[in-house]
Amino acid sequence: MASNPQRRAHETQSSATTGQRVPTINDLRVKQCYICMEEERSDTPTTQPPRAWTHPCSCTLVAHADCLLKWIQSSQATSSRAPNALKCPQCGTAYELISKEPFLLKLLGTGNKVLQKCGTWFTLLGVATAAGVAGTSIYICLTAYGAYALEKFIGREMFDLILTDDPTNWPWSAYINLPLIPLSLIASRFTPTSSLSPAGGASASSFIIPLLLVWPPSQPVGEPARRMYEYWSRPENARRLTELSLFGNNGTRMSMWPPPPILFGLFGIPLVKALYRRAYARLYKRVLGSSVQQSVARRANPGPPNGNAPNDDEIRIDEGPIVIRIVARGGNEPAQPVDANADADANAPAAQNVPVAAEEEDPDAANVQAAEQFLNMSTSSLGRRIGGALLVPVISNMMGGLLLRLSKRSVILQGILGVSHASRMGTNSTVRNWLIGDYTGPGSGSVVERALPTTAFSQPRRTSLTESEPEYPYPPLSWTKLFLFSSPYGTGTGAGSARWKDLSIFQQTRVGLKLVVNAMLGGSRIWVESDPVWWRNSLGFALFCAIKDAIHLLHLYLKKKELESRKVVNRDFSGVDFESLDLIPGFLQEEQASTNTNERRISTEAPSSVSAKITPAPQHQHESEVELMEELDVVAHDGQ
Amino acid sequence: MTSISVRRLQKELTEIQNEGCPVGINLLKADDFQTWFFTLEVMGDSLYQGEAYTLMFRFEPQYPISSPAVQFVVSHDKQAPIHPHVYSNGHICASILGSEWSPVLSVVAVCVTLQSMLASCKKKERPPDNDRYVRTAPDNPKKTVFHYDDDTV
Repeated sequence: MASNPQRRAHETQSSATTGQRVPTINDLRVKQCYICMEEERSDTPTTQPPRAWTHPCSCTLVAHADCLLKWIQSSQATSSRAPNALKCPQCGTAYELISKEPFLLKLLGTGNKVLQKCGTWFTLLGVATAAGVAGTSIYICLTAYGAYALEKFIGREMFDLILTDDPTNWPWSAYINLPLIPLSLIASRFTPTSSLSPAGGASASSFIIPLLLVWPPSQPVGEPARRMYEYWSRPENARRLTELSLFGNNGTRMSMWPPPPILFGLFGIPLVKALYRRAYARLYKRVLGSSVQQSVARRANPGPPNGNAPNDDEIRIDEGPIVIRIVARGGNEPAQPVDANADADANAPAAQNVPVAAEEEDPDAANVQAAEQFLNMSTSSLGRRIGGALLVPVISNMMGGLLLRLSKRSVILQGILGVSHASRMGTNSTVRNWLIGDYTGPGSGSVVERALPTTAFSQPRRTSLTESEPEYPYPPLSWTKLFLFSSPYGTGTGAGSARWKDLSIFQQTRVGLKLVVNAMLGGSRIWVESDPVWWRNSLGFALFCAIKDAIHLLHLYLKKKELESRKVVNRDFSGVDFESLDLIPGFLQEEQASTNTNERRISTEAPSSVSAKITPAPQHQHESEVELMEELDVVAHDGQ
Repeated sequence: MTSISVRRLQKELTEIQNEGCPVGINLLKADDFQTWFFTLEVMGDSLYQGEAYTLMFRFEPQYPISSPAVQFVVSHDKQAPIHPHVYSNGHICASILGSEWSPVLSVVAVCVTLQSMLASCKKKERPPDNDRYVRTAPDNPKKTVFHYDDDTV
């Protein structure tokens, strides 16, 4: 268009003044698609159903409508080619693309862009911060974040119990475990498969599972722990512990709901993940008409439909000046990132066996793939990935809090969340009470009263909420051993009391086993008895993932629909020297006829790209073409 | 029904056979629709006078939507031309093979472009990062992401 505006203007003017009709695609004698090079002659009727042709620019190139759409789609999906996707490669005229883009899709697209912006800012901020602080401070940040994440996830109460705010109380393992939390969270976002599986799967396995495996068996620390240690070290209590472990289950309130954290981490989460993935795959298939496996295979398979396609098993992050490629070297060819600032090895997805041959024939799958590429292009910000990963604990905390608030209205939800009675009533839970040193028994004669120095617990008694015998939570496994084997009080006498050394080998084994099993099932009993914040946060996070996946699917679905509805606007040949066109003989005759008729024809002449008509009929064709135009959603465009 | 790529390549081949290639370009071998070979010579006054090179084209089933993989053949008796955009393993850093590819181009058009790329060369030298690249380069040049930083060609 810009190539020769003067001539174009002249042309337009002359055609307007003389009333000359501007030829359209239908007036060409021979049409050759510049993409597939197939020819179609107007005088030889084609046997197959006629294919739609389009002339989208200001030069002589014409193409099949579907060929052109395919080309545009594939160019747009490659970031290096995207800027030129909607331009004629010859004359540079911008193609006009119309498609049905519902408001919701626009909204989702805008949302994506905003997040992308935030991600970029986050990257810049992150780079600046990282440059400013080095070595130790990074470690401190990681650890602090780890502690923060842990607190968010297991709740304040548990946190005070097993870690506390004071780092001097921390066990040495915390200094390893805590900084690993953010690292594993971030790493989970950079496995090549993470973008294929539904959201949250990777985060769950890298954050929640290790957390549930590491922390529950850990021991309480700090002042409350010391009090607890003192309590259980007393001879009566130590003896009682042995008795309980040996003879009865009355003290160990083993509830199976919420599930014990370790068991849940080991088996529950993988199970839920597998089930969820299946459900997701089914929904994906139902909504998009193409299965997840297919899309996985398409990506894993070499030879993507784009020219300069980057390597298959790689994550490419394009962010203004920073280009980072993370390449998974799984194949026989070593990949070569010329411009890579970073590359890391990772395992290649092993989904090569799914047949991909059907790709050509399955327009659904192709469109889904294109839609996915579009979304991928706009979601691959580094900051977005890392920021998103680090938000996991906060999100689960918020969702957990939301669930708790909702549960005030629903008894069923309370049951599901395992909200403890205490927190339901708005009072502190058992653990909380003894944590702050305000623990009170139900009345005189309780074990607690006899066992503890009254000075420490001499406040007026409150009647407890439950009639069960209140006591300190059972000590962690490692302590138990300590008491049993080496407690100086362990030699205390008492009728009917069992002492460790009095037990037979068999009984000793039994006690030991029981303690181990209890620890496995319940974590330390502290985890069982306190308000299960971790549980509702896990549920909350799961819910969040489900919602996020749903939005993603919706976005994919809408994008796919948009791709399907696309049409490139057809133009007539105004601006092109008619002499250079190979026009059908009928056109010239008709042109002579039409010079006598009104001039308004020009503006209403609609190019009908699908019409099988070879020569335009003279007069009354007018209306029928307008009808056709509406039906096909083709916009009349004669360049004026 | 044969695929689009095969039909298009068939047409390009017929055209080459009927009308011949431009001067200095000769079709060497096109037995199938996956790999074609051409010889390339630079005509007239240039740094590459009297030298002949072999070009290999590899086509994907998505051709012409996807660009062909084009490189100079390097074997015991064949060398890649020494040029700032041609690596010693035959890989070519040219934007028309990557981001500037469009279906309006053809096999012959690519040959002509490469011919003129050689013809306009001022100084015979390898790309600055040649050694590093060749050490780790993939077999298929399309797997490389080139940066097209020089517009003079």
